[in-house]
Amino acid sequence: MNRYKQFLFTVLLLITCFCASPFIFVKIWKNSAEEKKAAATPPPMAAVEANAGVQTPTAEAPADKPADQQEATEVPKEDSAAKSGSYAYEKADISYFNDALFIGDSRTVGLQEYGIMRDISEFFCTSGMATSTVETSTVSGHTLNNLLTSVKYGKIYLMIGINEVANNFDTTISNYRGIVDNLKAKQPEAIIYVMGNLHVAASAESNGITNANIDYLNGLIEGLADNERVFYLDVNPEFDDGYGALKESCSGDGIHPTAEYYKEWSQWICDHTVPDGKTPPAAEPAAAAEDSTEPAQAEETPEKKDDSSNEFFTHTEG
Amino acid sequence: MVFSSLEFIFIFLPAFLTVYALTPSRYKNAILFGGSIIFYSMGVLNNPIYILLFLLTILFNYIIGEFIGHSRRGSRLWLTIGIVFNFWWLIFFKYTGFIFSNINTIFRADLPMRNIVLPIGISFYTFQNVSYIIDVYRRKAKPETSFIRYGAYISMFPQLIAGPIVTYETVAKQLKHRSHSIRRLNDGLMTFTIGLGYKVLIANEIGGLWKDIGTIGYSSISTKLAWLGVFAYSFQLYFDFCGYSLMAIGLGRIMGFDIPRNFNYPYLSVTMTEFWRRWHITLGSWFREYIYIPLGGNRHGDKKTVRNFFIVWLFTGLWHGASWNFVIWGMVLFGLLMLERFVIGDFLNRYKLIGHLYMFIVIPVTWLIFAVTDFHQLGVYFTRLIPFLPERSDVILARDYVKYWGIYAKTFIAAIVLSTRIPEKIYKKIKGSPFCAILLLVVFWLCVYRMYKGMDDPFMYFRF
Repeated sequence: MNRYKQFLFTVLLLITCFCASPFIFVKIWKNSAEEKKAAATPPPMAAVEANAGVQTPTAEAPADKPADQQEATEVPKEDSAAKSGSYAYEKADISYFNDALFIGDSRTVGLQEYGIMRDISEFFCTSGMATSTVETSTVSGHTLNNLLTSVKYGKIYLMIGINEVANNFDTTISNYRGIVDNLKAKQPEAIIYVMGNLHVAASAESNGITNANIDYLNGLIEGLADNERVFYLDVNPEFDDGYGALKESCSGDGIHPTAEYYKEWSQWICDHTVPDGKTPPAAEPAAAAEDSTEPAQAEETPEKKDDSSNEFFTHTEG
Repeated sequence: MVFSSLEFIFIFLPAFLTVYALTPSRYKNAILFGGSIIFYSMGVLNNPIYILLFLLTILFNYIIGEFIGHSRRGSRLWLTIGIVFNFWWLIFFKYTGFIFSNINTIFRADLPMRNIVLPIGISFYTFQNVSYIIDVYRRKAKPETSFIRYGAYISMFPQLIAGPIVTYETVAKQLKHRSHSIRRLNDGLMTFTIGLGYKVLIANEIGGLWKDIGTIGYSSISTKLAWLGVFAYSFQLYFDFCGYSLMAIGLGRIMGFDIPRNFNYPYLSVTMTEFWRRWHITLGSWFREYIYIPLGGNRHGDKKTVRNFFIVWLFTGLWHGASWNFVIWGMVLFGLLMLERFVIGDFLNRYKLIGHLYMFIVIPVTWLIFAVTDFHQLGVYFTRLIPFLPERSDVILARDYVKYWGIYAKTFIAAIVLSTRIPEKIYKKIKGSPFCAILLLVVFWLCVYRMYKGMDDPFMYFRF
């Protein structure tokens, strides 16, 4: 027995490796198969036309606007001035963000840390956030529903999807739709901005995380906008390199913009707003669960910091 | 293929060791040679011609060695041909782009800039081949008569990709005869595991901070975070390279080779002079043995000594990378070494606390020059390091260092402790015990877990 003590490590290692090897081999196999698949799968451009025929199920706005949808689901490669909805956005003062909520993933965390609205707005974001985890995540002790039921927001910005761009698009967009519906239900007067996911730099494209896929997902997201309650914003044209990818100089790792660019991005968001009061008060009783809408609040002024409804407004750095 | 990958640990290594163990001693070198070529080819899959080049280089140097060894008269000519041949390939692959771009800038020329992929390990195996033929010329080593043995020497996969730079006579005896035992296997595996832990659990982790800072952008970090960053990079570089060298030593030991130690607690040094006797020891030895001493070393007066140091450090800088920041890095080190030699060295050695403080600043700052290739970015980072300058950018996140310290504190502390001799002292005491075996087993599986989750980076020195 004493002799075996000398090579105990080897023995233990061999035993544990032997037991674990099937799992490891499977992982290695899957990994190399995935890489081959990702390289071979072309982006689902063919499905874009199919999507053009889809009607938005949320009949929020009484008049369905198929024309808008047609525009929205066009392959959003070229001209992007028209991309950010076909809506005439306006510049706003930074106080516009006093009653804003930002929901999203690590890119939203970037806005939370380096955007001009960083100490002003509420942020519900974390690295890795996805459409499937938004409703169940806890950030700084709150869940999303906590925030939505305790504070009244004038506008909600949602930017999510980059972490799922390699997954099934139908699942993702259906989750997304669910989130938007929930936002509309719980915050009937809030303006909802759904934001297109930022591209990645050409050098950072890999296994399924490609700009073609991002564009496709963004196209689906744009399809959720109705330009009445839900608006679509896409900053990609500002930061693109001319070939549909994020400019290399905008980012250190190809995926997250640098702090300076988060600042520019946040300024861009501030320059593309729907002024308060422009959205119609909740017309569909089905959508507005609570009856707390008062006409006065529909015309809320940007200055809301002293408003009593902001009692619960916690400025967390998260 | 990287050592710190599931493919290497669970496929290549077990397969190789099984075949190697079952092979009779007479053919073990052939298996080592063959297995190493397979290992090498996994790393050059996109350019399979590099395998041919590698084999050709081995063959050529083997022949040159024979010629030099067996002919007194023409041997100088053969030596020259050999050296030129070896360095020609290194220069062609590694420095053509750099040379062309400089000519283009200076002379407004328009030489074509093609993106040449570097054959992996070329910086290391070139130096090994050259050391061999020079040693044969100097009669320090007898020429290797067996091509297989020579091939095994140059290609042996533990040290092929990233060193240590093993000279021929270090392993000459072991090439002919080496002993294998379960004890060596056990020792080697433990050493390998420690190296793996250094790389995966420390270097890759703390490298995350340096990457995060790159993501934020150098102009948008606070001074405190900037300093945290350079310390993180310094630790990453050390644990990455030292870890890799330990893995090489461990693997060598399993096969009966005594690969020399490449790091000896460099961060405990009190002077840069001492540092370079503790960091990448085999590289320093190579430069001393084959450049510094032939030039006369320090035996021909101060002026010549300074010149010799200058040449050595110019080339040391360039060896690390084909870019001006590496040259500047080499020159800064040259300056410090001369300063220490002629002015402050004795003082620092006597008052060790001051020496440590001096190194505390100098090490991270010189690594910064090494780390950042773009001069503009380097300048930006430097301004961030200086606390008195007003913060240029208002984008900086307040108390960002608090956030990042929170994330990386544990790794920093582990890195600091492991930079001292304490762990090795403990290891020596507990080496035979079951406790040590369990501990290393845990380390091993933590590493595998990390790799499994896909959080591995290729070894930093791979651009060589």
